[in-house]
Formats: sequence, C-alpha cells, structure tokens
Amino acid sequence: MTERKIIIITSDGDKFPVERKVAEKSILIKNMLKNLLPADDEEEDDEDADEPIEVPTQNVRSAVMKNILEWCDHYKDYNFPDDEQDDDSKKSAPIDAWDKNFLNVDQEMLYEIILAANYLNIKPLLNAGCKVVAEMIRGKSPEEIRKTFNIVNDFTPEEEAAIRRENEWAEDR
Amino acid sequence: MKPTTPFRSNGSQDYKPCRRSPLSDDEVDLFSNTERKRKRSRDLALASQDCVPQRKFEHIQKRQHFEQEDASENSSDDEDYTQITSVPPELLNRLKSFPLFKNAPKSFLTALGRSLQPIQYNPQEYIVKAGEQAKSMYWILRGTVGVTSTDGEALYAELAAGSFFGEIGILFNRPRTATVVARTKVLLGVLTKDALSGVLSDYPTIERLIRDEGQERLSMQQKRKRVPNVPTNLMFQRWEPPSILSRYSADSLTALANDQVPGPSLPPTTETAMPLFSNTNPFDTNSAYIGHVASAPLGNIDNSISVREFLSSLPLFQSLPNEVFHDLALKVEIKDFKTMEYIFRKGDSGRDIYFVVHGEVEVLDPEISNCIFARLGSGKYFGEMAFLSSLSDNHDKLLAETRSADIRAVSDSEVLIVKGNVLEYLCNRYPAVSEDMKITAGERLKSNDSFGDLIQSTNITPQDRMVSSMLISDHDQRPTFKNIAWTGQNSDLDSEYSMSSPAYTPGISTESVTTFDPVDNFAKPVLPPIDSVKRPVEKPSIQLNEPAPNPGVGSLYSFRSTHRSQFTYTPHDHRLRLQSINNGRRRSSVLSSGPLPDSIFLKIFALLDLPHLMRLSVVCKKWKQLLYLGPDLMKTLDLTPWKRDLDDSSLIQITNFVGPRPNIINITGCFHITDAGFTYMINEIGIRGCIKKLYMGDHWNISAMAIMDLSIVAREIDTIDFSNCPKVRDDVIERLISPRDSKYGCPNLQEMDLSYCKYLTDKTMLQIANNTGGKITSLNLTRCTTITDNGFVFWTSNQFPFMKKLVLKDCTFLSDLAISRVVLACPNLEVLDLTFCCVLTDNALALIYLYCKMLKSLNLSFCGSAVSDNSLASISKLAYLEDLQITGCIRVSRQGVDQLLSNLPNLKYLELSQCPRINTYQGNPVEPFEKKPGTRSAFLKVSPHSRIVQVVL
Repeated sequence: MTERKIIIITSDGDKFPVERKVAEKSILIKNMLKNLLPADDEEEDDEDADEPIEVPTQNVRSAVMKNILEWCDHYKDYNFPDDEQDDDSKKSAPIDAWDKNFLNVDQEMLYEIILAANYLNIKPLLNAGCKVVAEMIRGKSPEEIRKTFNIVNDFTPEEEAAIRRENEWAEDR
Repeated sequence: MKPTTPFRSNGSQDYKPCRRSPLSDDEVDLFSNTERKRKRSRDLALASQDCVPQRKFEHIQKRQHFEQEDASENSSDDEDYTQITSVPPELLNRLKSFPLFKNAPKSFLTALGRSLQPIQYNPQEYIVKAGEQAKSMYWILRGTVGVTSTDGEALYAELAAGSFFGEIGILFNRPRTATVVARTKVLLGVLTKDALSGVLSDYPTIERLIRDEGQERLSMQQKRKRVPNVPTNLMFQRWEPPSILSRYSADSLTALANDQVPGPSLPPTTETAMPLFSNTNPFDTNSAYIGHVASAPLGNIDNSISVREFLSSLPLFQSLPNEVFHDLALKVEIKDFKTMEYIFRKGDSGRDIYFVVHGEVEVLDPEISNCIFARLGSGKYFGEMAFLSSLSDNHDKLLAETRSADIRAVSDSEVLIVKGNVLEYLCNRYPAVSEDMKITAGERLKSNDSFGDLIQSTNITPQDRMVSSMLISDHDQRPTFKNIAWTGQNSDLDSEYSMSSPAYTPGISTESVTTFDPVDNFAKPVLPPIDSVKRPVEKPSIQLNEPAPNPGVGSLYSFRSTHRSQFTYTPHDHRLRLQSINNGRRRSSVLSSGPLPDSIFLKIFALLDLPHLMRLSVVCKKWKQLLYLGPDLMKTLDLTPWKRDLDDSSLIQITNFVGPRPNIINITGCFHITDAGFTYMINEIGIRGCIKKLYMGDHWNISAMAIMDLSIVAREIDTIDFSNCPKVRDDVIERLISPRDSKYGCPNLQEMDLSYCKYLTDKTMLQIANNTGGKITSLNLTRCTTITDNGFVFWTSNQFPFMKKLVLKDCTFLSDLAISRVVLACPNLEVLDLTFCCVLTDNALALIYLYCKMLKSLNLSFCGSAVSDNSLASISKLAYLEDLQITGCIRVSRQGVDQLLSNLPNLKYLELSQCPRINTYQGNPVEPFEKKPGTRSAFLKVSPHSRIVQVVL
C-alpha cells in the first residue's frame, strides 16, 4: 500500500508535498487527516487513492511553513510524550539545543513560527518558541522589554510608580 | 446637633431625670475611673480642658436615664468587683449587652473594659476613612454611625450601639474599605490592635467568634457583585435600607419605638436566629427601631441586609439550626442581573439553586413564545427542579441536571446562588429542606403543565397569557402587580450608585431602554412572536453599554483604587465577555501590547517566576491585566525560593498580585511571616479562590488562631503540611477536622504532615479517628512524642481504608499495642516508617505481616528489639515489599538477610548499614557482600527471577 501524498497549501498558494508522519506533527492536520481517511487499512475508495490530499493552511505563509516543516521533519521519528503534566519540570527544562538553534531567527519570524505552531497545534514547537521568548524577557528591564516587543507604555509616570510600589518586593530580585 | 436623631430625642425629651443617681459623680461617667479619658470634638478642641465639664454633665444626664431603665439586678457584687478592677460598672453592663459577649465571662469583659479607650464623636465627624491604615476596632457604646461612601454623600448602612466595626482591618490586616461617619453623637470604645490581641489571647472562644464574624463579612464583601467604585461595605452588620427609611422615618420610628417601649427585655425578634445581629440592648431606642426593621416581612429585604440574615429569613431554611447559616453564608454567591438578562436558559446544565434577594425574575419557556409561567420576587427561589432531579436520577447526571425553563430578570435583580453540592449536603442532613422543595417543585410543575396545555389548546391573546401568568404566580403568594419591582426600593439605591460612580451612568440609560414593562404588553395586544426570539439577540448590545460592574474585584482591590481609581480590575470571566463584545476596541490595545496574542503571552508568562511577573506589570496596561488576571497563571504559589527574606508586607504584595488564583501554596520555611501576612493571604486567596494544598512547615510565628482560619476559608483543602509548627496543638487539629456537620472544618483533608508538632496529644488522635471519615491517606507524626499508645487505642473502632502512608518515626514511646491498632485500622497501608520506635518487639513485626499485606516500603531502622532473624522471617512473606530498611538493628545476622533476599519477590532496596552481625551465619563468619567500588552498596543478583537487589551496607 502506498501512502497517499499530502500537500500543504500555504496562504500565498505555495504547495509543499510532505510525508504523512511529518504532517502529523501538527495535531490539527493529524485530526483533519483522521477525518478524511477514516481507516487507512481499508482501501475501499481506491479510485482517488492516488489523488494527493490537499491541506490548506490559510494562516501560514510559505516562508514560515518552510521552517515549520523543517522542524517537523527533524522530529518525524521522535514521539513526544503525550501530556506533560508536570508543569514544573517543563518549566525548568532548558530549551533543546537543536530547537534553540532552529529558533535563532529574526524576531518577526520567531513570532510567526509561534503563531503557526499555535494554529497548527504543534505543542513541542510552541513550547520551545515560548521558552525562547521567555528568555528574551528574563533579565530585561521593563523599558528594554517595551523596546524589544515594540510596546507603547500607556501608563502615566504616576501610575507606573504606583504599580512599582505595589510590587516593590519584586524589584530587586 | 440635629433634634431628629433618635439618641438625642430620646435623651432630651422622654427621659427626664427624676432622681439623683446614688453613685458618685466620678462613677457616673462611663470612663471616669480610668485615667485614659480621651475626648474629641468636632471643633478640634481635642481633650481641651474647657469642654470636659460640659461633657461630663451630659454623661450625668445619660447616666441617670440609664439608671432609671436599668433593672436593679446589677447587684452590688458587680460594683465591688469593678471597683477592684477599676472598670466602671456602667461600662461593664454596656459590654455585657453586646450580643457577641452574651456568654463571655466577666473576667473577659473586665479585661476588655480596661483596654477600651473611649472616644466621643460629634455628628458628621469622620471616624474612619476608606484607605486609611487600620489600627483599631470600635465598639459602639452609644449613638449611631453611618457607613458611607468616601465623600460621605451616600449612606450605605447605619450601625447602632451594640455593634462593632473595623475589626476586619486589624484582624485581617487590610486598610479600611469604607468610611464611617458619626450620625449622632456617639461614644465609641476604641480597641487598638495590640490591645485586642492582648485581651483575646486569653479567650480563644471569643476571638474565634469575632474572627468568624469578620471572615463572614469579609467573604460576603468579596463575593458581593457590585457596581465599581462603590466601596463595598465591610461592616454591614445591621444594615438598614439606606435612603428614605433611615432619613425621614427616623422620627416616626423612634416615636413608635418609644411607644412599644423596649423594656429591659426586648422581645427577641431576631435574637434566636441571629445571635450576632440581634440587639438586646435595652438602653438604646435604636435597638427597637432596628428590631422593628429586622422583623419586617420578607418583601423589605434589601440588598444591604446581611446575607446570613437573609438566609435565615427564608421559609425554606426554617428548619435549619443557627450554626448552619454561618457556613452557608460563606458558601453562597451573589450575582446581579440586569433587566432582561437571562439567568439561565432551558436546557442549560446546572443544579445550583437561586434565591431572589431583590428585584424580580420571570420563568418562561422558550418553546412557547411569550409565555410567562410565573414571576418570582424577593425571597423566592428557582432552579430547584434540576437540583431535585439530579438527586433522584443518578443514572444520568448530565441529563438530570438540565434546566426546565428559562429564567430572566424582570428588573435589575440580585440573586443569591447556593451551589448544588452544598444544597445536597443540606438536604441530606435536613430532609425538611428537600421535602419543602419537592412540594414547591410539584406545584410549579403542575401549574406549568396546565398552563402550557392552556396555551397549546386555546389560541389565547397575549393579554390572557399575561393575566393567567399572574394567576399562576399567585400561588407563590405574591400580589404580582403590587410588588413588581420596576422602581421600588431599588431606584433609591440605583440613583445613589450613579451619583458616586460615573461609570454606572450608561447602565441607567440601558435600563430605561430595555425595561420590560408589562404595560407594553397590554398596550400592544398582539406581540409579534419574534419578540421573544429577538430579546436574547439584543442582549449583547445591552452588555456593550454595561459598565463592567466589576463584581467583587472592586472590593478586593478597593483600597488600591483609592489612590488610582482609573484602574478597574475586572475579573477574568467578565473581562473575557467584554473582550468578545468590544472586539473593535480591544484590538487597538493589542497593537500596543506586543506581537503575540494574549493566549501565547500567557503561555510565556507561565514560564517566568513570580518576581519577574510582578515586575512585568509595569510594561503596559494590557500586560498588567494579563498578569493580574490570567487564569492559568499562579496556580501554584511556591514562595520557598525567597523564604529567607519574605516578610509580611511582601507577602501581602504577592497576595495582591496573585489574587485568588493559587490552589497550591507553599510557604515552608518563610520564617519572617507572622499572623499579619499569613491571615491576609489565606483569607484573600481562600475566600475568593480555592486552596487545595498548603505547605507551611517551620512556622513558629503564626498563631493557632490564624491557622484556624483555614477551617473556614480553606474548606476544600486536601493536603496540609504543619511540619515543625509548634503552635499547632490539639485545638487547631480539632478545629480543622471537626465533625462533618459542623460549620467549620476541612472535610476533604487527606494528607496531613504533623511532624515535629510536639505538643499534639492523644486528643488529636481521637479527632482523627472520629472526624475524618477514614478519608486520610497519609499521616506523618514524626517526633510527636506526646502521642502515646492510648491515642492509637482511639483508632480501634475506626477504619482508615485509604491510609497509604503512615510515618511514626521517632515516636519512641509507642509499643506493640499502638502497632496492633495501626495494622487493624489501616489494612491497606503501603508505606510505614517506624524508625527509632525502640520499644517495639518481635510481635510488632508479626502483626504487620498478618494485617498489612499491601506494604511496599517498611522502615524499621533502629528498632533493635523488634528486628531479629526470627521476626524478619515473618515479614519476609510480604509479597509487595520493595523497600526495607533495618539500619542499626544489631541482632540481624546473615540468616535473616538470606530469608529476606530469597523470599521477598519484589524487593529492590535493602538498607543494612550499621548491622554488625550481617556477616555471620549462626555465629560463623561468612563472606561479606561485595560493594560496588566507590559506593556503599552491593548489587546482588537474586534467584529465582534474576532480580537485582541493592543492598546498602
């Protein structure tokens, strides 16, 4: 039995043919395929078995999808533990070195990868992305954070001072 | 002074001194025997000499009037006593009349009297102001005070003599959340924080009463969903309908009260139901007035009244004993619904019961257009059908807990929600409640059915429907039209709210647009059938104008909003609702709040530690909102990384930041924390949230009283760690694991670590035996050396089928007797630690083998007299044992070890260090175990299954 081809179509119309197990790193696509192919053992609908399945992903543009698929391909043979319940160990675990290198991209791309991972429901990638952003936040002053994330400070100086006072304990830690 | 105030009219008109008091002038003044006289007057002549004589004269007059009324029962021994202790009898009597102190011993009253400082205030003088630091609490000895908005414009409540206020500020360590103004000339007894704790420390029962009362008020304050910026009242003891009643009727009611006159024994209208709220003070005509109001019929229940009072006045709960109400009052929720808002819809799931506090709701069936089954006013309840069916039909809970009709607010309504499980518990204990409910439900069902038939069979016009719905609602014994609360008592409140809170104004206009007026129905005989469909669609637009009534949060953060009122802290659920509605507005702020959506920023925030998150809240408003309200953040509050320098003020800051979110709290070793911070934290988190696990080892500064607060605010708690908290004594345990039906206690406790609580005695063991319902799964009694065999004898008649882990380490005095009770009571024990239980003998091991077949881990270190080759033979039949430690058991030889190794099929770990004879077999030296180089362990391959056993030498 030959596996049916899967083609992911991005928002700008590019087509990415992928292996099924690569595509299934995305839980969204995995569930979609599960619905499309109820039981892949029973090849009853032979007539369109050769037809590739096209998976549209309107929210992801090609440049991002290329990265995402690179990640999925790297982990295609790795089974992530289903549910990481122990939040603490997840929290403290350092970012996987490969992931870190993989996510060493410009900020715009990083955010887009995170958004795409969120949309496509690729938890391990999303977590890694979040960790990278958390690293960016850690150890920065609020002013630096605003600069990093391009955030406008909408507090008046008095308000800001009041919040600082409220959270005084945290200041020197 | 205004002549209209009850106190004045009373003193100056009705009571002319008719005889001279036999007491000396000095005694006449309430406080003249104490040297701490301190007076205040409005013109800032603070304690100035020239105004004192005048005051004294007033007091003489009052004293005489008191004297006249005072029954002569205040015998001379009182006076003798008080002369010795220099507390004037007048003050003692006055204190005795406080409902709270009905059963207080005289020594307490004397001590209290000595600590009280009298302060007099003139009418309109401020006593406390919202936002101020709380330093004292106040006992009203004479006169009336008003609880008002910060500017003094809106009056929320009046408190009369016999009440106290300001206790929350000092007990729970928070700034004043409301302003109190003298309404009449008042005499207050001021009790400073230190004095209070000084007096109360000797009277735990009374401290408990005051704390309970305070917690109840606090929790109601926090649950009460109110319009923002209105400082929710902390001190709503004896609320009165704010506006009209208290203003214009003061005179007439006083006159009325004087007619009925309150003799020394006032008819205890409210006393039985509400010990704390009743007023039996015979001296004050206000008491009569209040008694009068309190005994008024249900229709007068205003949202300002205390929830407990409301609950106890409900006919449904008449059969309940008093103590249940306290608990119930803590558990209920209060919600406001706007006009035409649906409270629930037919088919919704849920089994909570709703009581209308004020306003009115209507029952309708969406499938029959425009059909109103009934209208329910204050005091009525709904939602009972789903609840009842959930009780009876156990086979399909989901299906059973389905609402049978729509409920919609006719006017702005406040409803009180009793959770299904709370009610189920009540019904089980007090069957009368469910019977009553069944009858009501039956009647309603019948009338609904017949009504529904009527609708189906005859094509009647809306007027007829309206009329028949009125008829039906009559079976609820309400004259429907007369009481329809379009305006009524609410309008006064509303207007007051709108005065004090500009944010609310849009709500008013909404109201005027959408008020469902039955007159409309009559004016338009044929309503288009889409009408009922359309209304819910309109709902979002109504919501849009709604000013985010910010339930509860206003109170939680109220003291903050005093400096920066422009921040409104919206609870998460509400915020989400708002967000989904005002999409357009929100989006603009997203632009400025960073490149990722909120949900992802929340994920990122979850990876950062607490100080980071607190620092991030100054980045921008959106982040602040996310950080303060993000629902999945701060579920666990682990403060151990900062235990060395965490003090009360930082704990309060942290608590304010995390809000009610944490379920798991760990403050182990944060040894700078005292009652002030601890109490603030657990009350704040416990009342609004749900504490499941609390780890508070090594706390020497937190008092038993503060810990006992858990029994009220953390009733869901399942794990508690008191390791090395010497203040945890029997009374604390007794409070936490009190009988299941009591109004306090933590019925779900499963894991308790009481190690090093060395003052715990056998009484604790009795409590555990009787009141935990066998639910305990884990108990650590390490070094509880005061617990003896007798404590375990209490376990004889109780089973702990779920007990998995029991640590009796260092309980050096326990003998085989205790073990025999343990093994019988805990047949499913998996972990047992008996380290240093030196008194045990070989028999103990035989008992363990016989009864605890499930043991996986057993520690018998230093139980030298219990562990021998022979006794090891018995436990070497424990099939599941994986881990055995017999450190320092000098009688064990290789013979015993061989038995263990060959017979225990699951053994993985065997600790044999300090066992000098393990290399001898029947007196002859044998080859020692071969240690793995660089370790203390030998890894042995043991037949039959080629298992590897680690043997530590």
